Amino acid sequence: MDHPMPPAPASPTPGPSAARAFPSRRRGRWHPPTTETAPTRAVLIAGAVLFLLLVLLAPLISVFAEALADGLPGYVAALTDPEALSAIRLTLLVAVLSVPLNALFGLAAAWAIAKFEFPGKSLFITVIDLPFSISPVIAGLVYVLVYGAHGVLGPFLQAHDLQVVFALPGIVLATMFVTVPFVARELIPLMQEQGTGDEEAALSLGASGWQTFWRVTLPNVKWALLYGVLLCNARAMGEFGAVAVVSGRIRGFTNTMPLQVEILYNEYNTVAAFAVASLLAVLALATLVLKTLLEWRYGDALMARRGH
Amino acid sequence: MTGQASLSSRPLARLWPRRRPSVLPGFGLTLGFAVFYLGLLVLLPLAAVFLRAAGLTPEAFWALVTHPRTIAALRVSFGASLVAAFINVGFGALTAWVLVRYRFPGRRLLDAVVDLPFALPTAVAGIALSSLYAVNGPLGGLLAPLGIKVAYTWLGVVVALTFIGLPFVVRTVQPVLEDLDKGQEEAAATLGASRWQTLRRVVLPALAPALLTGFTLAFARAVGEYGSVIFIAGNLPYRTEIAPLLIVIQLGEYNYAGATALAVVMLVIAFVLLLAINLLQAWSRRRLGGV
Amino acid sequence: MRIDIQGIHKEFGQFPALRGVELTIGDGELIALLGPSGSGKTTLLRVIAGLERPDAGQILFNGADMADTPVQERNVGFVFQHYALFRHMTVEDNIAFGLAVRRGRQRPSRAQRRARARELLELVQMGGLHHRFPAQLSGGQRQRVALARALAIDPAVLLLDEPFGALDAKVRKDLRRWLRALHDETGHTTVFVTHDQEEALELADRVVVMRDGIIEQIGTPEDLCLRPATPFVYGFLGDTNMLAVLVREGTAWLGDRALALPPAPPVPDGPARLYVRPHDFRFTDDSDGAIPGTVQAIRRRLDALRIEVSVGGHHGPVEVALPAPAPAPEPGQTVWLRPIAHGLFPGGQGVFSEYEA
Repeated sequence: MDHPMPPAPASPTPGPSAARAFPSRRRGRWHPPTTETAPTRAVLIAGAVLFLLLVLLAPLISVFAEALADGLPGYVAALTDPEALSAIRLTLLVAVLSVPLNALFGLAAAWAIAKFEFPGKSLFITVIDLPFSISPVIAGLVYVLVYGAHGVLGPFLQAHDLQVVFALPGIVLATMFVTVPFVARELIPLMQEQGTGDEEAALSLGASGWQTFWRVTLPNVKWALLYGVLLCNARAMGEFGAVAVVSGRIRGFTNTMPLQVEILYNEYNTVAAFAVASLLAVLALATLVLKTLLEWRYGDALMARRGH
Repeated sequence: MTGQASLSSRPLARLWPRRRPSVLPGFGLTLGFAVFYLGLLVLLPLAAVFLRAAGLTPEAFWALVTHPRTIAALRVSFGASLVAAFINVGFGALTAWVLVRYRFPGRRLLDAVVDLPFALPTAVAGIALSSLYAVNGPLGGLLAPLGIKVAYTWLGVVVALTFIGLPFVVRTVQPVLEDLDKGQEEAAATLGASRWQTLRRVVLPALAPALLTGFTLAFARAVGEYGSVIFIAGNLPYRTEIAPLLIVIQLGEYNYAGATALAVVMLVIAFVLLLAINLLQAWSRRRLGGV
Repeated sequence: MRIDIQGIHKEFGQFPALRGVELTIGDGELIALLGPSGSGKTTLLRVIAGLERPDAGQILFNGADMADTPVQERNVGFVFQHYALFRHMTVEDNIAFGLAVRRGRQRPSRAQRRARARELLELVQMGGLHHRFPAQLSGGQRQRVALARALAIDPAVLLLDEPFGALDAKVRKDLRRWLRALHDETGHTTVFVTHDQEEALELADRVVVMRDGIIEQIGTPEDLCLRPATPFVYGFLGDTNMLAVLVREGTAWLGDRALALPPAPPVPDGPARLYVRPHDFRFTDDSDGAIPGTVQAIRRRLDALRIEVSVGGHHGPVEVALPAPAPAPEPGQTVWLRPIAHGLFPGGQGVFSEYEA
């Protein structure tokens, strides 16, 4: 078994200086096989950027441009108008009422769906998403048909002097209908992926059901919950179609901000309409910024990732 | 955990399928609350529409939905939605491709901007588009000399529906494109395919299910859209009046039967589209999954 | 086809993936590129294919510089690690793809393409499965389809990236033998990448051991097993023990004991590392020049008796393998170890310590 040892590696290994001995002279035809040539790339990027500028950014910019068309004093005056202020108050109130309820629903639905197996689960998930595929106008219509003067419950409500349609309850209900899925659809895939291991561990260590939820489940999903609440809130404050149908547009009473925008615009009070609209645009921008920040900072905690 | 033993010992369990046993608490509470909430808020009110429609005789129902103004409104909604969805598939795919495959300054910003139609209230988008594309507006003014009128025409409806539909396509295609195995493109290249052949024969078919899903989502959303359209459409009956607006008008005229009939038609179409999306996704998972 | 690889450098950002690789692959040879992850073996394969452009150096196919030849025109059959089959195409369309994308008169008719695909399916022993989609195949079957697809273009060279990496052990062994038979039948120049030494040794005519972007050793499986050229190869191929020794006037000293080693080329005086494989130790009664130690633990395996012997100093226990029927010593017993084969490399301790067995 004795044998001599060959003295050196078989391959000479020139140092890094050798890399510079050959100037890169082959810029010619070669480019990575999974991308396009530089000119093609430039054209495609320019095309996409131009399209997004024209279709998405131009409207956003025009909102602020039109709002400030008469200068700052006109803008401030439009926003401090009593009707505008009342619309702002109503919009905030609607959001404060509808968003927490939908968040609660989202948590409950996600808990039941993600932590348990039961028949009809996929149907249940589909039904949660249903409001996304229904025209907001129809969402408003259904409440008029149920609670309106000629609705199913109309006579009963009139007899007890209760007003749902053309009043706050109708607006809140229509908003809730439209925004039901937002929190649930963020939580369900995430909690499904997280499984039940953490919760079972907590229970085995003696935690109660509530303790498990507060100390284990909720911290695991808090960023996704926030994300869902953010999107839910943006939609709740901006909802137009559904609310337009049930509100009755009583100025100073049942006008939310989007409805106020419509009324002002139709009265050719353009500056005032865009001034109120600019507040909603700021809300949209803030939502986008927060959403992007959340995705950027907590992307892993938000998304249910396929296969790690 | 399979329940094999309990099934044989409890014949009732076979008749009434039960949830898999779990040590976690709260199943009854959470599912009960969720079903109750969804039922009260969404399902029962929706049922009221069908209930109300059932109160109509078939002839009356048919007369309502075939009224020329209704037909015209449906045609405007579906025609414009179809055109907008096609535009969105083209530019949505381009946008997704550029965002996923290329690195350039401002890419992150562009990526965030794509969600603007999700976040911007539709009424705001509506008045903004309307003033942009009006004949005296910044963009409408550029197009007017070319003889192209956008605001208060059918084209205006398409513009608004393109605005609200774009993110559906981009956000559906983007993750698929991100997960697309570059190895497949490299494999095509080693087999002699030109870049164009690779895109057409390898990349595009791989994206097809996502494109189709994005198309359907954008289309479904556009058909029901109201807020962003009514300001730019001009709302001329028979010409630029969309179906959701007709529902609102009929409600305003206390024509509940007409509104209900139209709503039922649109709901059925929405359900069919929803079903189509689910089937589409199941199909593409089955066929392409697992490699 | 003969491939000359000359002075190839490739960096990814600041990371040097290949640092001056020289290699000549003869016509019809079956070559394994073996190394741990990050050794540059896959990068080298991709450079040969034209999927990556080297920063410096040349790839010659039969003497012709390939620098300006894009991957589409190199006519290489490349089998990807995860096969990269086209999911939306049937097996048959996958295999015929390379023929279908040819242009003009070079493109065979649809019937010819189908016939060629069926023929190749037979070759890879998958006749009758042409209508399946990749998702409907097992891992081993996908592997074969990937190979058939690469062979369909009648490639000048076959390049395989971890061809068996994603398969389970049993399938892997079968496919390995089958690939060797296929190679002998078709005679393609073949290069495959692997991190599995057993695979490389069993399959290849010559094995190229790589580490950190350089080639450590090129040789036949026998060269590598019997004559490892570097400490790295010693450690990478199989188990080994490393002992820090001091060489003085041609004699290796472990602590205060001069070791009697089999004849080997001289090593300069100074610190050195002594490599001995577990099965190259023998117990001896003659303490002269042997390594003293105390038996710590004994583990019986199917093929051998593994004995851990503590040899003092700051070394961990030395592992000794005896043929299975050997009588086991007692724990605590004092023994003398004599290497019958070894590698002695100059240099201080710790330089290659991460590769110790």
